Amino acid sequence: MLITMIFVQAAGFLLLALSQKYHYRNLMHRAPQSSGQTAFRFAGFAALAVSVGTGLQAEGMQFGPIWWLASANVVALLVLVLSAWRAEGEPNGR
Amino acid sequence: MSAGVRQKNAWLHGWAGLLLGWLMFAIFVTGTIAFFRQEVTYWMQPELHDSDPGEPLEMARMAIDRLEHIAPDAREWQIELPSEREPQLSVSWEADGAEADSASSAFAADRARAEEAAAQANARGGRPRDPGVAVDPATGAIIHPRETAGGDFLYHFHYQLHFMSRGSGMLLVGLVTLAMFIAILSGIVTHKKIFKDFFTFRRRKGQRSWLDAHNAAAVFALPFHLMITFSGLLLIGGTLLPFSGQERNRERQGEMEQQAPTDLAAGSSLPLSKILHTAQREWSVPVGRLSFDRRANTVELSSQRNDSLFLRPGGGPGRNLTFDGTDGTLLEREDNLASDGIDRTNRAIRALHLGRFADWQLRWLYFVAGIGGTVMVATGLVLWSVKRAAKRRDALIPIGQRLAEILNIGAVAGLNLAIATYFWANRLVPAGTPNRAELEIRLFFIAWTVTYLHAAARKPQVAWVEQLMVGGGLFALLPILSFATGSLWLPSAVASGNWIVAGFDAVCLLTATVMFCAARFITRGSERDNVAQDFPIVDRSLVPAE
Repeated sequence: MLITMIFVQAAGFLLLALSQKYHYRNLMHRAPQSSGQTAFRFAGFAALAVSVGTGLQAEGMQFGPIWWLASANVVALLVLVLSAWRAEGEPNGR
Repeated sequence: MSAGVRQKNAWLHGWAGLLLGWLMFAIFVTGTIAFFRQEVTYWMQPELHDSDPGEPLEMARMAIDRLEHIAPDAREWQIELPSEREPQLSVSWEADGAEADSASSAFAADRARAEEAAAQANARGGRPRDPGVAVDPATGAIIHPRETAGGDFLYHFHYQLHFMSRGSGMLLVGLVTLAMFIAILSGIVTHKKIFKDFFTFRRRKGQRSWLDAHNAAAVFALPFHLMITFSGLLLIGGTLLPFSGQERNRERQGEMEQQAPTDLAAGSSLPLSKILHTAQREWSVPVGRLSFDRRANTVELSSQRNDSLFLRPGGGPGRNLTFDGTDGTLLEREDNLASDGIDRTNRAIRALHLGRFADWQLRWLYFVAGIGGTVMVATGLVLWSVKRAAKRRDALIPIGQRLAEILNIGAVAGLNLAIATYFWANRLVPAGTPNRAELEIRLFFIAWTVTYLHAAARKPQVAWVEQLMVGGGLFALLPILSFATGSLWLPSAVASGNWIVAGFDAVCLLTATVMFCAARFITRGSERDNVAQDFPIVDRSLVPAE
């Protein structure tokens, strides 16, 4: 259950990163389509909401939120590292 | 938000952060390690590493057997079962009522030794501890681990410092915590693009990169940073008040003294497995301690950790079960749950800070969040220097900036080196040395002082690199030193499932890697700096005039 929460959370953060032009370019190495941004953002927040639910179900009302926030720290960091890492291959990262 | 408000907040953020930032970093580092303080203490007593803990039932049986032999006349016995965090069995007993020439006196030396060690530990601060005696789970022999302050020293340092009274230490830490809280709040206001730059880290952009790292470390773990500083303030305020728990114990002792002495119950008649099964059924957490009242013939079981945020967070476990010593019936269930909303809030905030409810997985996540805090403070400190250095490239270095640079080096790189020294001292100072716990602490502070002197004597960049390399080297060699001086070798620790020793060694290697990378990063930065001046970690104008 906790593993599910972490994966869904990772998907959520990754989608949120993709909803930003800068990170889309870093991660996908191509220009984003203008219509995709809102969809990515919506899907990202939806995934995060689902992961909150999964966390609460797995660890309860007291420890669920602690788990969610504690793992969010690591998962968001991984997305940041991924984006910064992938940006290097691109001559004009910005 | 108007630019003026943001600017004022930036000013507040910079100064609140800098002035107490050096101490803040030390508090964050030692506090983060304190999430593993029992594990660190265990690592620092390699005499315990050889014994594998067994099943709780088997361990409790052996401990009772030992106590029957060691302290047949004691009024009270206590057994601390091995746990995930402290995998050793220990026993203690209250021998006040025993006859002087009884069998207990044969072990009086062991008891006296344990009591002396505890008295020294208690003098260093913190809650009074019960002096226990470690028992080898395999043979039942009494083990004498080396005397060390272990992780407790780092834990105590993070809220009451050292070389000063407990009260003034806590006052100072309280002030730092308050400054931290202000720095965090004003930092949120100052951060212009908290959502837009959420995942952004721009490499090799000098000041920009430092700011990105600072922001990421601050924002990702922001709930943790807010929680840990706010609850820290609350805990410091609370600990200055007298403990209610201690008073309760004193009352209980008074009651016992009034009781007429009766026959002491034999431990062997206790239906142990029934009792442990009942406890397992009642609680979702393992049993931590068994306390025998041998005159009333009862045994009290305490939980190993809390399974609710509303239980008493510190100073003893939140759940207790009292059993009859003869037939094992459950006499009383005591749950120290908060009574009202205010108490619940108060306890939950404290419990979140202490994190004693956390299992090992969550404990590691707490540790990572703590590291995030140390990175946030360290990058903030460096930024302060980098920013000001960037503004003046030519003229004389103001004495204030030079001083800030020295303090940065000693506080950040120097502290890591000093902690490595503390662990080295633990393995190198012979086990039987009198007062060796204090000696380890002294060596820690001597190493730390030397790093400040070194930073004052050398050019900033050179000082950074040298201290990071030496500190990294000490951490990298620590697992080898540990093995050479009688503890487990990392692969064999993994093979035998001793995750505390394996985890400690792995973190040492990781710390070493990070410190080497930082050193290389600074060296590369300064090389590039010679060509294009695009990335100064420290501006070259800060170098003392030659």
